[in-house]
Parts: sequence; structure tokens; C-alpha cells
Amino acid sequence: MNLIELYVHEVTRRLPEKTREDIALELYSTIQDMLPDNPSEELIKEELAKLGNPAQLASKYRDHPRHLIGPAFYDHYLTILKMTIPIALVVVLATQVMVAISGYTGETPIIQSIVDAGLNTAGSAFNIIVHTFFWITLVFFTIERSFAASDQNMSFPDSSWKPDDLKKLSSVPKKKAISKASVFGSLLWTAIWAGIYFNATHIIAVFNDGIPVLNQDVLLAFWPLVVILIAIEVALLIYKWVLGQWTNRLAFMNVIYNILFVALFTFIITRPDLLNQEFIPYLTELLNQSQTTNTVNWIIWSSIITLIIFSVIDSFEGFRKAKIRVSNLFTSS
Amino acid sequence: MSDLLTSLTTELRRGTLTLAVLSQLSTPQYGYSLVQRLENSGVVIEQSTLYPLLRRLEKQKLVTSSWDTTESRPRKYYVLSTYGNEVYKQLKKEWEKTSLELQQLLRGEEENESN
Repeated sequence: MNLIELYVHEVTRRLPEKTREDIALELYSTIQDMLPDNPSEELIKEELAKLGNPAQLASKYRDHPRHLIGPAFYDHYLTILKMTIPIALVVVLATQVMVAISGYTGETPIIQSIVDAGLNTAGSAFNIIVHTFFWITLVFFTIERSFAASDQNMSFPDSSWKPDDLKKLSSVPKKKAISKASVFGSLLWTAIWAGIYFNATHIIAVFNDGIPVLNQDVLLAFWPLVVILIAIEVALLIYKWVLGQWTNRLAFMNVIYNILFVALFTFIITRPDLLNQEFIPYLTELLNQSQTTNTVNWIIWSSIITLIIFSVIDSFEGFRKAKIRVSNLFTSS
Repeated sequence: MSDLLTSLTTELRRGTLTLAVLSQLSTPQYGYSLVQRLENSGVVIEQSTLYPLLRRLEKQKLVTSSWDTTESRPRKYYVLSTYGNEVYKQLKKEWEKTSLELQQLLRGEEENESN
């Protein structure tokens, strides 16, 4: 292999497969155009130096964005991060305090318990910050790429803004609009149920003995599904945030999310061994055997039904809000 | 200071490169012939900028390309498409307008200074 071929290879190996051959051929013929017949190695080096670093040349050929999150979404990205991280931290703090209190047996000196709890909290806080950061970045990265693929000139979608757009904004009826507070609330709710899920054995326990009501192994066996659901929920919230108002498409996505949530909840709660074996004697002490089973079943099914009712209402609300006509407040008044 | 000046100059020139390249493509040109034509007119363009630019113009459907394999070495020729020609004419008008405006601005500045 001579220097030219090596150079061309250094450029094209960094490029997508389908453009590789054509660019290689063109580059090769161009470099030869630059040189006289039978050039000396010195001369070849000189010309290659003019073309510069192959990695840099390759990056100029690639046209996908060379950033994670572009200017179009950067502001949204920051806002969501600023909103989510405090919520996550509050939930971590709250759950850790509950865990520390419920787990306090009096055997260890109180100072040591406090220090331990502090260390645990710091660890979880760090963990949650890294997670939040990662997942939100991933969501925005995906949004960025899918938008860039559909319209490569759209470096700034806001550039098509017209003063008339303001009228549309102000005439989005309050009921149709998605307020920042509601997105905030939903994020808080996500953080709370995620916090409860991952700490269930500490939070839901018989207080004085610290016997968990639920079987941690069974509960946490589903964590990948739960994490996916959280990711979907956060993605949906970000979409809501960006959109700012209900549309049919959003309402439809909301229905799908609700179905997934109900399905996963029903699936987990109906696992037969979800209840901690050590907890059952407690229940039978209070109630007799058949009553225990009945009560447990009653709790399970009433919570499922409650959830379904809420989900159905939420789904319908989405469509109802999407249907509200955007009337022009200025001309109608 | 000189670094800043270099980056400002590059920025200033970047926008005009597309126009310079389009102006030379009413007849088919291959990469190196284009470099030479531009250099002859005093327009310095880095080759590492030009070749990717040509492909981008093709992707934007402003130029079309074809391989000529009749000569000793195959060459890729680029030429303005009909659409590219229209865009070029408009861009040229824009440039003439801009440069005139700027000229007046700069001249006005000079007169102010001399007064």
C-alpha cells in the first residue's frame, strides 16, 4: 500500500459504509490530479499535508450533527434537568429518612445510625443524579437525532416563528394547555412511585418489628421493566413539555402509556409469592385463615380497579382536552 | 488578536464559498479542476473543505455528478442542476445587493472619519 491509499483508507474507514467506495475513488483520483506523474514521496507528503488530518476530513464528510443536544432542544434539556434533579433528590432524602427511622432498632448508638444514614443518603443521591442525568440526556439525544434525520436543515426550528404564532399561543384555552406545574407534578409522581418501588421493603413494613410486607426478591425481579416504564413516562412528559398543549397524538400516546402502566402494575401485584412469607403469620394473628386470603385479594383487586378507573379517566381527559378547539380569543371577543 | 481576526475572516468567507463554487459549475468540473479555477481567480479554498462541500451540494440537489471513466483515471464531474442554476442566480443577486449595501456602509464610515 502506498501513502495515498493509506491516506484514503484513513479517511473512508470513518465514514458510513454506503458512501465509502465513492468517496474513496473520488479522493484517490483527486489526489493523483494534484500530483505529477511518478511523484517523489516528498511531494506526496506535501500534498497530503495540504489535505490535512484524515480524521478531520472524514468529519467534514459526515453530515450528522457533531453534538449530543443541539441549540433547538438545549433550553428544554436544561429546564427538564433543573426540574427533575431536585425532585429526585427530595424523594431520595424522604425515602432514606423513612428507611433510617423504620430500621432503627436501638442496638447501634444513635450517632452511628445518623452517620450511616447520612452516608447512605449521599450514596443514593449521587446514584440518582447520575441516573437522572443519563436518562434525560439519552431521551434528548434520541429526540435530537430523530429530528435531525427528518430535516437536516432544521438547526433551529424556532426560526420559522411569526408574530402571528403569539395569537395561537395566547388562544390555547387554559384547559387544553399543558401547564408546567402539571408536568412538574407528573415528574414528582413518577419519582415517588419509583422511590416506593425500589424501597418497598423498607417503607411498607410492620413498624415495630421491621418485617417487610412484600417479598423484595419477587418485587425487584421486574426492575428492568419498571425502568423501561419510567423511561417511557419521562419521555412522554418531555414530549408534553415541548408540545405545551394536548393533541390527539399525545392523547393516544397517553393511552398507550396508561395501558402499559396498568398492565405492569397488575402483573406485579398479582404474583402469588409477592407477599413476604414472614408477614403472613402477622395477618393470620389478626384475622383467620380464609379472611386473610380474602382481605389480601380484596386489597389487590380494589387497587387494580382503582388504578384502571384513574387511568381510563386520565386517557379520556387527554382526548377531551385535545378536542377543545383553538378559538381565536381576540376576534371572538 | 490575530487569532480572533483569523476566525472572523474565516467566518466571513465561509458563507461566500458556496456561491464561489456554484459560480464555476455551469460547465462540468472535477474536484481538482475546480480548485485550480478558484485559485486562478484568487479564491483560496481548502481542499478538505471543498470536496465535502461538493457532496453536500449534491445532496441538496443543487448539483449533479457523474463519473467519467473514458480518461486514464476516472474522475467525478459536478455540474449545476436546473434547480441549482436557479438558486445560484438568486444567491448571486443577494450577494450583489449585500456587497453594495456593505460598500455604502463602509464608505460612509470612511467619510465620517475624514470629516
